[in-house]
Amino acid sequence: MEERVLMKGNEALAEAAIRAGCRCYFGYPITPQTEIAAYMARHMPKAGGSFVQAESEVAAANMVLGAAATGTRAMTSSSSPGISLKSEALSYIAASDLPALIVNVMRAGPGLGGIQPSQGDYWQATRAAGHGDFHQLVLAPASVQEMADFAVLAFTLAFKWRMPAMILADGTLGQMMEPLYLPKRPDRTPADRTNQAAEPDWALTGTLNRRSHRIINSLVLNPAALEASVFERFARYRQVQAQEARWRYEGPEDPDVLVVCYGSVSRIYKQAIQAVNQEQGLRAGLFRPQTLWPFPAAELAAKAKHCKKILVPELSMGQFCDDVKLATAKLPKPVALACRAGGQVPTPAEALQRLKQTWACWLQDQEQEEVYYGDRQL
Amino acid sequence: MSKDLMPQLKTLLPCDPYRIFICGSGGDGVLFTGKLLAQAALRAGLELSWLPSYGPEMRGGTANCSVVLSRQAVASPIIDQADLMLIFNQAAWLKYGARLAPGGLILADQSAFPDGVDEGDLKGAGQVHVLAAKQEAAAHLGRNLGNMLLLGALTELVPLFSAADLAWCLQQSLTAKSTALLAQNQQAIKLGQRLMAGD
Repeated sequence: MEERVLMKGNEALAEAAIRAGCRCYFGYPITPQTEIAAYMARHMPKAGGSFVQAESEVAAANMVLGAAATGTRAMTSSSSPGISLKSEALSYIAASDLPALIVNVMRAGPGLGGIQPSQGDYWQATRAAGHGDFHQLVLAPASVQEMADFAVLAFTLAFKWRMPAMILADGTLGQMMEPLYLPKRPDRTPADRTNQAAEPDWALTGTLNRRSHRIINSLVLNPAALEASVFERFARYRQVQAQEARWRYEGPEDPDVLVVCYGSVSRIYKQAIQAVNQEQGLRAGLFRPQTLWPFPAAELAAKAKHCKKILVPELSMGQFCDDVKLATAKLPKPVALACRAGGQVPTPAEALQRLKQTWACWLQDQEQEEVYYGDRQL
Repeated sequence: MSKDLMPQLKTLLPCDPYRIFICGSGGDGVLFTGKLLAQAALRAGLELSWLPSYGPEMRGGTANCSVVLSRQAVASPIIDQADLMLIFNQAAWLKYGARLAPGGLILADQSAFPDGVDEGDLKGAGQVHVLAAKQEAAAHLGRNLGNMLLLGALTELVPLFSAADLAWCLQQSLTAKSTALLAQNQQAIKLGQRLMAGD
């Protein structure tokens, strides 16, 4: 087995992307994800790929569109305000049925906001990555190991389903270091590289007058044709939803309180849950979606069936909680929401307090659905 | 797995998870100190996380870094209490001192307590060790290597990992940069060990 290495989340993601065959990186610096660009600048040329610091985020995302159209594994990365600028190209990439990786290491908003960790782009990533009817795959890592693993997974899924994939991380995951196993480098022989069969049958690589033209386009002025293409795309999305939802659960089989959260927040609550499960009385479990789109709704509903109350902590104002409520609407279970914003992150002690507080609420009133703004209960 | 068959870790954690908080100013080597600790812990077979302060702090002002060591996968990389605090100056002590866990260990540069250690401020601390780390480093090595001196002192205080592991990690980090710099850092670690042994 390969040796464990110590890397920052941003760097692990970048190295894993190169190992996954990414050969084009286009970006523009912004905290807290600049290490991805810095790593790519140093290492992409050694892998025989291209690194371009574009003149803007808009340009970088459109370069991804162009590179992806050739069947090349291409990516860009940014943080919240920069992702907003990329949204036009994201819509074009989805409309062109192209695979690409977009990384958002979220910081606090709205506006230019701050540079500390946040999950405030949940709706943007899962609902409105750009204009028009489309989806993108959204992967939510919770460790440096997953920052690397999901870079590989994102390319695999993006190519399998011909759609953009986003890794939705945050400042904590990007900046922290943890030991990890890097994905293996593919054993490529020179013969593999020249193997024409490996080329996707939609890639624009030049016909050499030997085959008919392929067309990649997002402009369809005939409403019937456009509707048909949207219907086809959404039929594909239904398959993605049925096959690609990923999640993790840790805790007792039938917890009293089911904590549902993703990303770095799940790490903080994991500690609180471990602490509370060592005491008598309250039993808690952690359900963590690894894919935010597709959302593991059926799996969450199955897990939530036997709990008494659901607690949703997030670094945003209830965006993620909407999906939890949708998934569990038929049960129904009372859902408490614990918000932090502005780059503020709960401490393990705060997480423990929230857990105990929401359980105390349930003991008093089994239908109460309280909301917390930091320590303040509304 | 029986206890005898468990892999023997070359480490003794005073508690698990062992939460370390390092704080000082930009230029003190706060993040590098944490990185070396993390690398040595990895070499000793531990799980760990390393989380830096980023943003305005990097451009001057206070800087800090949280390192969590454990035998199991680390749950929270974010800590609100520290079992060990490495403190490089007074500003950092005043800002972060409240994070010390009850019974925690403080290892500080003298500049953190310019008026001496006030027992009243330290009621929760288990142990406090103050060294003239920056001063000694400047006098003997002519560089700002107070951080390495404190790290050397730490190996005398807590057997988290061996001095040899630390030396190996330092070599990995600095050999490519400058052999002279590596030698000075190694000397600073040894000086810290000697000072702590005579403490």
